[in-house]
Amino acid sequence: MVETLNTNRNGLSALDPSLSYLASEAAFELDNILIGEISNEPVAVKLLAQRLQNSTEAIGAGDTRQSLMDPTTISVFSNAIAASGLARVSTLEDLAAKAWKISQDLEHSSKEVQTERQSIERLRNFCVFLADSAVAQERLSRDLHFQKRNWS
Amino acid sequence: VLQIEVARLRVEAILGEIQRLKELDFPYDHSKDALSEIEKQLQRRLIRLNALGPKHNEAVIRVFCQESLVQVDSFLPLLGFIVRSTHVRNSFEVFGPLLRLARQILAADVKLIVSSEWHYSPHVYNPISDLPDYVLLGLPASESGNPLLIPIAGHELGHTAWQRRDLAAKYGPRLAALVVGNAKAEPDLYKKHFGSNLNDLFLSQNLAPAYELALKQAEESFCDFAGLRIFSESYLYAYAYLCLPGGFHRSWTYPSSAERIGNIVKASADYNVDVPPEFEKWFEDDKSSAVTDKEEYLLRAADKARQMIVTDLIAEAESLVTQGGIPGRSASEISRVLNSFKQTTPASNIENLSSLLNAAWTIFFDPGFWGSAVDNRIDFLYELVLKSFEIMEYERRVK
Repeated sequence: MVETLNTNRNGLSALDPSLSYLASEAAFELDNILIGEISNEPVAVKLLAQRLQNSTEAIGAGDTRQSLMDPTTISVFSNAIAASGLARVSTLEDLAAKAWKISQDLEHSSKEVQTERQSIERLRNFCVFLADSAVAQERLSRDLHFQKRNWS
Repeated sequence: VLQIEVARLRVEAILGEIQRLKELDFPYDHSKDALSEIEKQLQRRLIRLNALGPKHNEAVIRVFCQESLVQVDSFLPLLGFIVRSTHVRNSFEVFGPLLRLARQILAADVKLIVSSEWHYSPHVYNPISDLPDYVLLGLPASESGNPLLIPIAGHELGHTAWQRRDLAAKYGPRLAALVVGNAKAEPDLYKKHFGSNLNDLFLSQNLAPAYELALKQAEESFCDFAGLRIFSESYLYAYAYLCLPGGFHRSWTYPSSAERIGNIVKASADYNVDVPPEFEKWFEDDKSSAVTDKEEYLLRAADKARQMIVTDLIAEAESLVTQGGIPGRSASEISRVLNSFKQTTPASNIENLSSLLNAAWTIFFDPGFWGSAVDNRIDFLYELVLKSFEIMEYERRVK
């Protein structure tokens, strides 16, 4: 499925219709690790990790990071974090820190199911909620355009 | 089990439909290519659905079923659009010249589908997400033989340009900053709708709908400017033909009618396009939509942010067309077309579509152009314009 994923986008964007598919694929790959059916590298997981990494930037020399996400993506991403119970996020700085942490966890998610099981389950659940939130947003955007159109 | 089974059946059904559609006679390969692209996307979904089974997590299964349903739902009307591109009602004469124009402005690999819609408000898909490298021109079925509406293609071409140039990435951050900044500048108004927490995260979450609307409005504005810059006055008339007199409920993903027309008039000054006297008064303003106070606030926030970048969008469309090396309409060429048409013969050696279409609109507004020499002057005008398109294509091919 590598060739099916759009690799051109730099950061996470809820207005990119491929996000729901990418997150679904990542959830599938992590689920396959959990049930012991993985055979290839988890490509979607790595791509999602890259997009999350590109969605924040470091401020100065410290560990603090700032979000580069647009408001729609912030909404979709924070909904996914809240629904998956990964963390409590109350500021944009928290959100950026969490995006970075998840990206690192995804990047280094291992096939060692025995030792990492809980972590992989949490990441899989996050990917499911991200896909769920993104697909709802995609449908909303389409409906908005369809119902409220002029011409074009 | 049921949800996977029905999801598979839904995808298989639409794939079966695509197989049947491929048997149709397509006048141009691009429609068939689009079918293949859609087929590929749906086959990916089917492979994944086939790989899911009882061992997998229920939530993973559910989200794949949801995602595949959204794809089926979005591709089905697009298949209808592609099917209608085969119908003889379409003006096939315009395909070659429009494709060349699109490729000059965008890229050599851009594809075009000319089709028709059974909505008078044409075109209901999002070409950006569905088929990113395609320009989709869908005129209302009852107007598909009316070449005077071809300037609308400039607007549709704008959507493809917006995607290919990744203009959402260019203008999105500015719009986001404007939406949030404007809300912070009027905290009392914001608090009235969302409470007193002005934390950045809550601001972003609450204002996300305004951001999304601002971005869509910016794209539609850019597309208007692209159409105007390419086709000059003829874009104004084609727009008026489709929309007059207006006065309906507001479409949120577009600027309000008054602002949209005002922006087109503003861009016309920059592009040296002659706007008919009192053009803005031709259109009724929108009726206020029956929305809640909060929705009204978000819509106003979107409007304000979008309006703050209109000047840049006008320049962006100028740059798009200039870089494509598209010449504007010329008075001498318009005059030459008018002379040919006066003699009831199609025009030849036309350098750009804009001159041809602007000449055609000049005749449209002149009932005495042919005196009593021609019956059904509008039908005759359409025929002459389409013949001129055909000659244009022939001349290009034999060069």
